[in-house]
Amino acid sequence: MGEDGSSGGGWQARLRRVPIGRRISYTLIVYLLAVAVMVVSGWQVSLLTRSYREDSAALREQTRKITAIRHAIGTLGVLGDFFLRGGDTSMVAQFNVMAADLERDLLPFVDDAEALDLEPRRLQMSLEGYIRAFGDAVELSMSAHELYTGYLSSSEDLMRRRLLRLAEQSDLSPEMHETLLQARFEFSQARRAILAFMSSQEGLGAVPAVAGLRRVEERLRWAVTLDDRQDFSTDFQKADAVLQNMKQQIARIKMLADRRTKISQGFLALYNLGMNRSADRLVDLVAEREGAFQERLKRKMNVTLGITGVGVLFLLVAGFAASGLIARSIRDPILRLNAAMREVSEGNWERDLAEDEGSDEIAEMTGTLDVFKRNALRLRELEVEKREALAREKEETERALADLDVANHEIRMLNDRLNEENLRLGTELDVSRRLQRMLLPRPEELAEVAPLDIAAFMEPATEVGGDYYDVLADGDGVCIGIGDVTGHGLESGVVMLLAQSAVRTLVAAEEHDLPRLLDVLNRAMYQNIRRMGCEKNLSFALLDYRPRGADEALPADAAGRLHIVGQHESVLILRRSGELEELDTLELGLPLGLVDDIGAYTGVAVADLRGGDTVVLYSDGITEAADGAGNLFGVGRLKAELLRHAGDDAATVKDALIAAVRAHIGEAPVYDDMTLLVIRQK
Amino acid sequence: MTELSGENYAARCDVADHRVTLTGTLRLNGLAEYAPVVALLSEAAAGAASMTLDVSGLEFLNSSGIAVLSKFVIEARNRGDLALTIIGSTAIPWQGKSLQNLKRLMPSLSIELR
Repeated sequence: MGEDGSSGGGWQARLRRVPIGRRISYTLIVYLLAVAVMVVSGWQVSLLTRSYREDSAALREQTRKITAIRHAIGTLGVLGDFFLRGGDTSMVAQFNVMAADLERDLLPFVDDAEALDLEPRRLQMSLEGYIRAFGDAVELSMSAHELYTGYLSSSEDLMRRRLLRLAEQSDLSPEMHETLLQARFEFSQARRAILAFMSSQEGLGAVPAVAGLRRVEERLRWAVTLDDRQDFSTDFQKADAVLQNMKQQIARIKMLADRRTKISQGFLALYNLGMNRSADRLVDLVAEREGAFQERLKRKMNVTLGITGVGVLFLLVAGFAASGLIARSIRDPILRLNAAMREVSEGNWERDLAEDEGSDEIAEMTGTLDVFKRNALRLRELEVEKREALAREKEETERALADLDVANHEIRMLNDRLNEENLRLGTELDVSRRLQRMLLPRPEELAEVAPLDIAAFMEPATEVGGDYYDVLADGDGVCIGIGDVTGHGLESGVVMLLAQSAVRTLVAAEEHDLPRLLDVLNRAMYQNIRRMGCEKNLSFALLDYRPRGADEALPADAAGRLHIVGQHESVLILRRSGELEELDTLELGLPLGLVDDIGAYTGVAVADLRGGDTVVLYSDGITEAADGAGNLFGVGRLKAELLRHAGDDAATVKDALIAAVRAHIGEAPVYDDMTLLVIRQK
Repeated sequence: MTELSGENYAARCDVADHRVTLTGTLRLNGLAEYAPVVALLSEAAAGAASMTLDVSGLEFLNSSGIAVLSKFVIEARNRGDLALTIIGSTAIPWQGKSLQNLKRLMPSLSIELR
């Protein structure tokens, strides 16, 4: 492919800078040009042919007209000649018509005289001369004829009658008679000669006529000598006079005839010759012109066809060459690339793909393939490096493994220790859980509380918190405690246990002074927590319920009364009517175990319960239960859910509230114990 | 300037200004885990005539945290010469009740709610 790289290479390099699509368009354009040139040339040739046919027809028409004129001129000459040799006057009219036609036919050629070498002008002039001369000749003929008919013919008659009268004389001598007969014969001969002269109108024709008349004259002179008595001398004198007159007339006619002959043999012949020659020449000229035109046309046609042919041929060759070049500019790099790629695929990585000089799609493709190749090469190098690195690494790893064995032993020992700790923690968790459960009131205890319908719920968090609740029967009434120790785990569980125990003790001791009960409880918790060495405290509220009794001044419709002491979460009271009251316990105490004397912070709240009223107690694990996004359940949602259940029994309300809390938490973790108590006045 | 931070919370103490700022959600387990926070509060209060505790960015504080604050307020009250100001937020549920408890423990406590 590179054998003509010097010339083809330059072209190729130039072509390779053009995108392939445009290159193909170029080829198409070249072929379209060739087709266009062919079409245009064909059109031009057809135009030329048509104009040739038109011009040619016009020229042929001219030739035909000239030929016709030529013939007419010939005919006119013959006619004129014929007339002058004794034709009648009808020929003159015919001659005039023909002449007028000829003059008319000739006019267009006269206008075109320059192209025809002034020959039509000459022809016209000859024609005019001829017509004029012919006119003169006709006029002379007419004059001669007039002379003949006017005088000569009557003189003839007169002569003939005189001779006849003489011959009819009775007393004529035989000699005289004979001479007169001869005179009559000679006269008739002379008359025939005169007629011949008249009809020939040739001057020479007069000679025999005059000679005839002289012979008549001689006979008469002879007869005069015979007339010795002179009987007929007068008659002879008269006849002689007529004869002399006739001779004079003939001489005059001869003069005319001679003039006419001069015209016909001089001017007419001259003009006729000129006319004929011009006509001949014209025919030749027109024929020549037509020939020249045809020649010129043929040359023009040849030139046009030649140019067209060469142009088309050039375009075809150029187009063929261009498309060949373009095809090669596409095929060669592809073949080169293919060969290079095959070499690379056979493992010759040194083969350079990016030797391409163009900037077209193939060059781009080549560039891309080269990038691929280089990447592949780089990958191969990387693989070798990686393999080496791996080998090195393996060596190091083996060395490190030996070190690791030592460390591993230590770790195993540490791990064993950790497991022990986990076991301890797990045990502690288990114990706390059991502690919390152990002392919760059992369901049958709740059922025994006659005036109230109580439902309780408690769920410890994964890491047990310190929630607490208790329901303790106390004579007619019931004491309900609820609390929450800070923190989680065993310590919180123990503090809760202590609180439960202390409350139970105080209730059993029938301590009905609630602030005092709370104060004693706080002191016990404060001192025990100190002893435990932890800094726990707990929120705690006690609800002392007394049913309607003789000693209580309750409102008429109230079924019982609650006294509430201690700080915890709010106490919610849903009235049977659907009204919801929120009783804040903030001012009723302080967290227990925080300070040694809480007397100053304690207060008691009172709430009367009517049949169907529901009291709800809850730990902060309920209101602070968070969903996945960290939104707390809150008192608001709790109250909203509670409001939907006015009049429902305690278990239903409890289940509904717990379901709402669980729905809120979803999959989120439970951080704190959740405690819920629902107490309904029956 | 001393700073503490853990999962979901940050505590910053500006000693010169005697100001402690708590932000985020504090759910530490027990007083042992709260010890660094207690140390931070003590550092800010040491030798100061006044001190500010900013909890307006503290979204949640568990009961152990409330106990820590209560202890701190009782200590401040017992010291007698520390003007303590707590800055809280009405938009955060736990603060309503707890800050009032603190005020009850130390009547001279100044609470600014935002």
